[in-house]
Amino acid sequence: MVSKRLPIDVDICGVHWKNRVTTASGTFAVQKRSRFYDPSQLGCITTKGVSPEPWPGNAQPRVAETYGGMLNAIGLENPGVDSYLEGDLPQLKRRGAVVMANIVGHAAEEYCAVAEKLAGSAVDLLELNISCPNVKEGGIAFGTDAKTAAALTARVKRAAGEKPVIVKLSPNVTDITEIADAVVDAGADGLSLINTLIGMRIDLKTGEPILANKTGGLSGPAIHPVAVRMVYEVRRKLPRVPIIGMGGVMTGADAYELLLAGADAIAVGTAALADPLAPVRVAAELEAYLSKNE
Amino acid sequence: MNRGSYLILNNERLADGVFEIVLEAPEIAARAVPGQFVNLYLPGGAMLLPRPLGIADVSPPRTVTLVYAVVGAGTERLSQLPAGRRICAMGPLGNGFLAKIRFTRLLLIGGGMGAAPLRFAARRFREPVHSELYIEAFLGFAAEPWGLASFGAACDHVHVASDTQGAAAFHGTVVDLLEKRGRFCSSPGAGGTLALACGPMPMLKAAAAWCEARGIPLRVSLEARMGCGYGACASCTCETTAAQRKKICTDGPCFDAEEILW
Ligand SMILES: Cc1cc2nc3c(=O)[nH]c(=O)nc-3n(C[C@H](O)[C@H](O)[C@H](O)COP(=O)(O)OP(=O)(O)OC[C@H]3O[C@@H](n4cnc5c(N)ncnc54)[C@H](O)[C@@H]3O)c2cc1C
Ligand SMILES: Cc1cc2nc3c(=O)[nH]c(=O)nc-3n(C[C@H](O)[C@H](O)[C@H](O)COP(=O)(O)O)c2cc1C
Repeated sequence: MVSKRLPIDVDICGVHWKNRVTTASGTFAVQKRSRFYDPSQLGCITTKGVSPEPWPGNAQPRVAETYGGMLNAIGLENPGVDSYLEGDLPQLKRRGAVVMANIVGHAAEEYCAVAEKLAGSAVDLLELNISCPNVKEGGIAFGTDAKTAAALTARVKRAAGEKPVIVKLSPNVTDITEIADAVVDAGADGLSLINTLIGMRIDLKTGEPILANKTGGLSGPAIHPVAVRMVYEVRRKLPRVPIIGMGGVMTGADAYELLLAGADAIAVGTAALADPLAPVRVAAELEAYLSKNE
Repeated sequence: MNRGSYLILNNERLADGVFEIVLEAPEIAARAVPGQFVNLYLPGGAMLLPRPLGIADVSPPRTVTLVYAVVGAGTERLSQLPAGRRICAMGPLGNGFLAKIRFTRLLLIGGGMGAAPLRFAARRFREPVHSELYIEAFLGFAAEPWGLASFGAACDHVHVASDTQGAAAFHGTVVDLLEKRGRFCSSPGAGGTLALACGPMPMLKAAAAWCEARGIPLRVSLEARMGCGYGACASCTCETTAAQRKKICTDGPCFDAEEILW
């Protein structure tokens, strides 16, 4: 096996992670008690997209199964940043977790409003979500054009004060390295990739799309090779920027593959929906890979 | 809640397109209450999402029974798994029917596969502590009825509406059946009637209107497509009278009918 000499822990934009695994945004529930695992067992906990005001999300159905994956069109339902600052964030910090907040907005002002509120909070990192395919305004509209993405990154960077800003990229573009390059130039401290790929499923009985939103974001093992390819391309173009790789990680082997492609850390999303303990299992399996290669 | 690989003790056809699976799952059996559900995970890795199924019976200390209709690829695959195999499952999930009110009569209103969790409710409420309880079930089946023997054993009276049974049977919806045969109304004071309902949304809506008109408190069990079943993904949220949206998987699946925006 090709060995890649990497320690178990990692420094992401000046924040120490005890291992290289985080939760993928939107797939982790903060519980009053640690029902499944202690969140400080992971390098970082990335939380669901948070907006300045509560968002209701899309109509039902919001999920559909695909071969080795799933489509979701949740539409970023969330209770808003004030609720986050009073509830989820302090709960996670109290339990010793490193926390990355995923931030969303319909317009640049909204992203900045969230970033400003979080700038003075205990959050460790911000993840700028310019890649959600399931909302009409904002989200992916900012992530498919290099100029727009760069301009938003620069504004959010200013609003975020000292907090490192990691930009989460969309795979729904012709050349992901172009956007990566542009946002790093605009001040992004790191990159997360990939968000979901736009897909659709049709109910054979009705002839209509299964999702109320018609289209949704494809995630899970089906997209792993796309994630590996995109991390690899971005790493070749930008040798130094911290990269959090994600897309279909089910096992330590999948995670290790993303590290070989050039990621510094990885996130586990869909796997955790099927098994709440997947992120800690992946962390343990990845640790075994990394120690083997020491 | 527990997640693990559990032995299939039995998996057999109950009626046309309806199967009953019995799992040896002591941790789930020990903690389950009526109205809760279990996620089943199919083997193979192609079908990643959970199949949520209401708990249809529990025999402590060992077994959990689920009743499912074959409606798609997952339940088709499930119906082919033989006894002796193992299947991955997580549960018990959700809140259960649990009502905070006193009642002396229990009305169970089930449509199709919605009868599954009511079967567990009937059995559990029949147990000695509740022996004075009068339990009456109203069950509607578009297809072949199933489980009538277990309802018969646990209930004081079982009414069945079916479109497939012979001329003697009641033809119509379960709410037509209630209208025709249901005589209960809530008696104030010493604990009246409590109704529990599970089934398709239009049936629940009609049952809610029927109960409301008679002042009978009703708990309904809702269904939605779920991404995780344990509160992580927000796939299954619904609007209620509460300020914040609720998750059917963890705040429910059982709600007071009054909370639901029909
Ligand atoms: C809380 C709860 C309890 C349930 N209890 C029972 C029960 O006791 N008996 C029973 O027969 N059915 C029950 N259902 C419905 C059951 O989950 C679906 O019929 C089943 O998941 C269909 O799987 P499939 O692979 O055959 O269908 P497919 O259509 O191939 O499934 C594709 C995806 O859609 C989901 N899905 C499809 N139909 C439904 C549905 N009606 N509700 C929720 N998800 C769906 C599946 O879980 C899967 O993720 C319950 C649903 C919920 C939410
Ligand atoms: C149910 C669900 C909700 C998601 N919500 C968000 C979100 O709020 N913000 C975001 O940036 N990405 C969100 N994502 C995308 C994931 O964080 C991740 O980028 C993607 O699913 C690929 O990883 P996976 O294959 O491991 O799931 C969501 C994904 C799923 C499946």
